[in-house]
Amino acid sequence: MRGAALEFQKVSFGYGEEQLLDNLSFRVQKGEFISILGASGSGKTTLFRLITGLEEPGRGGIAIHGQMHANRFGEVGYMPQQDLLLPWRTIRENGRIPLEIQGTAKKEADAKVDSLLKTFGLAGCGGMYPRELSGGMRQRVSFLRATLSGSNVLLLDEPFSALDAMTKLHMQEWLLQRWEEERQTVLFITHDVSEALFLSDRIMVLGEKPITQLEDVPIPIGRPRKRRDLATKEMVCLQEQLLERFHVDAK
Amino acid sequence: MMTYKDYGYALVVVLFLGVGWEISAQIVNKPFILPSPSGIAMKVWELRSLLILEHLPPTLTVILISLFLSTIFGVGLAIMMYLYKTVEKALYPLMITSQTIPIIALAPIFVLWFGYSLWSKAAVAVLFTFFPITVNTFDGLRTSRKESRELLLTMGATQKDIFFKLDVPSALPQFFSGLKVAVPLSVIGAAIGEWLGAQAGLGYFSRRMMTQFDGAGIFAPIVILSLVGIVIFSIVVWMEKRILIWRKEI
Ligand SMILES: Nc1ncnc2c1ncn2[C@@H]1O[C@H](COP(=O)(O)OP(=O)(O)OP(=O)(O)O)[C@@H](O)[C@H]1O
Ligand SMILES: [Mg+2]
Repeated sequence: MRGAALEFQKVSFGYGEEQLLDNLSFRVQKGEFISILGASGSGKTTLFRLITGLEEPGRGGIAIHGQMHANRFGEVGYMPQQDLLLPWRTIRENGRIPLEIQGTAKKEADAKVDSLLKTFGLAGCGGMYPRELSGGMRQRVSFLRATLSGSNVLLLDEPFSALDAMTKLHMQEWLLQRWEEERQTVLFITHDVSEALFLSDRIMVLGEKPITQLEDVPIPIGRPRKRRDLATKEMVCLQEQLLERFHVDAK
Repeated sequence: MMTYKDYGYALVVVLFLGVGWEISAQIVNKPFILPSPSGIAMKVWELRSLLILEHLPPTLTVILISLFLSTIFGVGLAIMMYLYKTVEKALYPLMITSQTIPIIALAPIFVLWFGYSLWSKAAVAVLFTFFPITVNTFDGLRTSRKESRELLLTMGATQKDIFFKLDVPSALPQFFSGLKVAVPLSVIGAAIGEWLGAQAGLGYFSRRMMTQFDGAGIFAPIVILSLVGIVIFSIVVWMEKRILIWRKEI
């Protein structure tokens, strides 16, 4: 039996007067790849801020691997939309920040980062500074850093939205491959419907505010995936339905 | 990056001004009012051992002590103001006010407090130099990004982690800007301090020459003072480049 990696239990939250989440419950199984779709301002980033502990729910609870923590900082890996690499640190030094914070000795931390660089397509970049890297490479450093912090739950907030189309496709395939090797639990925010369809086991859609539930859209294709799997009639239909929804939402 | 070519332009201007000065000085021909560059150069050479062995050391000591003290005070104050809102509210206006007081007018008070010792001069110089260091460091600390801070928090960082891993490195470039402004000010401060009363020092020597209507003699120690400023400034730039190596253009 697989346990829940993440569970929202009747969570209510709002930044001010207005309720953004109202009595929201959902769960994510261990090892699932979930995409989160929703219009701009619908509360996607807010979900992540709640999970990481940057915001506290007004009511309800958030369990990570079945445990409710008083302080969730350090429990999950968070990859923000911008890479937020520290420009004065080399790639190796940027990657090891979570380990430094956890109190790992520098030498050990460096060795760990170095052992990962190749897997992340960053071989030979350890001593470089972020400004010397391309956008896609910087995102991979940011991803590496996220995998080193916290447990096996990864929150990725529109990680590829700033990349050009070609790099984006390349990064999607790379991410999928990484995930198939590691099977971490991934929550992936995106605006791109085809990206969500290609990557995830299921899509969670955020609707009207206040959000009382997330609409679940399972993806009916198996793994490993090829991009042409998206061209089946069923998938094209699904894509059109989703696009239609956002078109309506946008009005 | 400045290359020798960039310095070349400055050199041309200096040469141009120097030649103009030399010619006008020759025409006016009143060396006690307008000494010529060549006259000053000769004076520097003539007085070299007196200037460098006797009058440079006390002035250099004041300059270095004032830079050291204002770095310690300035950075300390900036950190306190950054960490504690109350300190900022209490001290920031005072600090600005301190810069509106004519420091030269305050200097006699320092002489009253510290006598004609080194400390009265250092106090004048510190009053000049702590301000750019404090303000720049404070602003530098505030440039650390909220998003980066939040990211570190999600990794479980403590306030101490955030301060040393994010705030301090964010503030370093600005701190160096402040220090670079402070270097020439420390030279001016030391010279002014010495005018008010001293037994030795380049500022003191320049003033003594004034009473003797020795035009070139007034300028000779000033040349040394400005060289000192340039050397210290270059050392700061060198340290800045070493420490902020990540900013280097590819
Ligand atoms: N710190 C904050 N204080 C007050 N309101 C906020 C704050 N952050 C977000 N909001 C509001 O909460 C709502 C949800 O914001 P959120 O950032 O979660 O949206 P999003 O789905 O991530 O949007 P986008 O796709 O544009 O990134 C928005 O209406 C936004 O204005
Ligand atoms: Mg967002």
